[in-house]
Amino acid sequence: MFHLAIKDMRFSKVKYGLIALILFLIASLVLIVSGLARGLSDDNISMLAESEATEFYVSTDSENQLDQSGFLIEDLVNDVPTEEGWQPLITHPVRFVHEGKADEKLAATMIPVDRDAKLYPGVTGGEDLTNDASLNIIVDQTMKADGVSLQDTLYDEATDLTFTVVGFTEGQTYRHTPVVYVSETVFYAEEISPNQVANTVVIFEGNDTLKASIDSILEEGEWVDKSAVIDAVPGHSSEQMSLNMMIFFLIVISVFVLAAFFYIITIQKLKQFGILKAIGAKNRFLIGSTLMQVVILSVFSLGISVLFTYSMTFILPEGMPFHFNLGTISMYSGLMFLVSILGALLSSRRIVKVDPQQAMGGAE
Amino acid sequence: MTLPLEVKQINKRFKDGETYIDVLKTIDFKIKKGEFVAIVGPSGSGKSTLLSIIGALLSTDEGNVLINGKSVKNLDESQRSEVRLNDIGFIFQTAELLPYLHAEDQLDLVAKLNNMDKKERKERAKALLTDVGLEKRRKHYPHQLSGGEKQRVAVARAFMNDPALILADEPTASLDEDRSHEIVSLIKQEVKAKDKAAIMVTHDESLLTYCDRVFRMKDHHLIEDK
Repeated sequence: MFHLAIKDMRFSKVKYGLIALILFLIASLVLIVSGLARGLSDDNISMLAESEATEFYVSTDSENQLDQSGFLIEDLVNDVPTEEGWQPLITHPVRFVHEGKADEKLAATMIPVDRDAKLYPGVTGGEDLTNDASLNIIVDQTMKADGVSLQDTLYDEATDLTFTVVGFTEGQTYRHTPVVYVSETVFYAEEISPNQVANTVVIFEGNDTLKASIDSILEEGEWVDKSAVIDAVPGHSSEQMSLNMMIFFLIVISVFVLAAFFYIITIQKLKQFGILKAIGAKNRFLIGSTLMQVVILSVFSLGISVLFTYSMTFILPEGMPFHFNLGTISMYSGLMFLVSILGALLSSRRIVKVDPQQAMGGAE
Repeated sequence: MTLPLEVKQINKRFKDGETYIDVLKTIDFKIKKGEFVAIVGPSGSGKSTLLSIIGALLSTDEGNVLINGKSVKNLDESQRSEVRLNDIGFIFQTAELLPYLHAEDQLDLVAKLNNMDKKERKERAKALLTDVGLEKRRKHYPHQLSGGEKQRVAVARAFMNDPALILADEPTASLDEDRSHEIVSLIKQEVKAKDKAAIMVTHDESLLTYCDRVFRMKDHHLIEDK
């Protein structure tokens, strides 16, 4: 079956090459769009997605948007120590002037943390955060694309403070800006935001008594889970929906294109199939070798498009939100594989219907 | 001793609108090993229908066909495939080779369908292609071969699975006179050498000299020349 499939494809190189090319192009488009969707999503919500927090307490009228939510947490801090399993989360938008570099401003999201708290992801390069009053910050590595390196100083006009970059972290972006971690001590000592204010209060595992006691102190809020908060991040749902719609239509289109191609090839070979049946080949063998061709073609084309998509990560400019995620890529490659098998199966009905008797008596 | 082919009282009708047309009436004959038989008759006389029934490609309305002593009457499609693969070698009007296989692979394919082991396949293919005079063209593709050469490959293919019965349906229809005589004498040579039974359907009276017995289709009956 395998050898027959290969020999046929080698003989009709152009015909099968064309199908392989089309499959490659469609699959590459699907994979690149999915990489873009993933990249955009990461850019917008990776800080939340990577967070260990499982549930968020948000203001009732905030529609789950962290920026619309806010609480005074002084009473909460006094009554329920954070050791019980909760933490305040503050997302403070800042615009830095990168000193010594071009005068463009860098937008970022500043988050005050205790370096031992679960909300702090740790560093991947440079020094770790300290809990003292030094004006040190840990920034997401996407800032490297803007030319930020260790020991650079970033000036914030709003507070008239100059911070020093001491370390990098990764997978920490929020609303298309890199997250900047600063120690709580500095944040409150310098009064970067007034009083003890937090956008939300997070917990790390379901604990009904803790949730109830937080609720009774803060009031006017509700507990929602992480996915609800992620979905409410402005732009996230609409970006993902439009890109996923593109992917969906590409896949539907490829079902039809591939089915049509395989159908034409099958029709062209019906006479051959009739002869082969007459001399004793069974339907199973004929359908098997046809499917084998599709499997070989798809594995070949999809393999190349995965490699091609992977190479895009090197070609595309660094600031471009494109993420080659193996899970997503394998999911869509698998889907494209099934789509081409499905396309081929549609024409196998024609193979079954071929009457071997047509091989006989063409002259009568 | 079992005969390669016994045809017992076959009737076949085709539906034409609301009426039935008799195509074959009480066809009854036997062929022994080593016999090369011709069936002649005008177009539309039912020669190819008869060959299709003998070749397990078409069912009968009444009567029975025994190939190598086995009845093909109540077999399902898959079992008929087995019979065609193992017990019958087909030669068609045109060679009907697969365009993407060279001569040796054409033979290899039918043996592979029959699960013959690789070494035996290779040896048999080589020997048969030598028999039909194509030992030097084993690796040639159909588009590199002449019409006569293609039909020689088809003859070799028909013998590949060592069937008891060879069925040739107008094997010379697409060949000129000289090639026609070459191919038919080649079929005869192989039938005699390998002690097979063979039926050839033909229009061409001049080819009948190669055959041991001649049957004529007349008014839906098959009558043997004496």
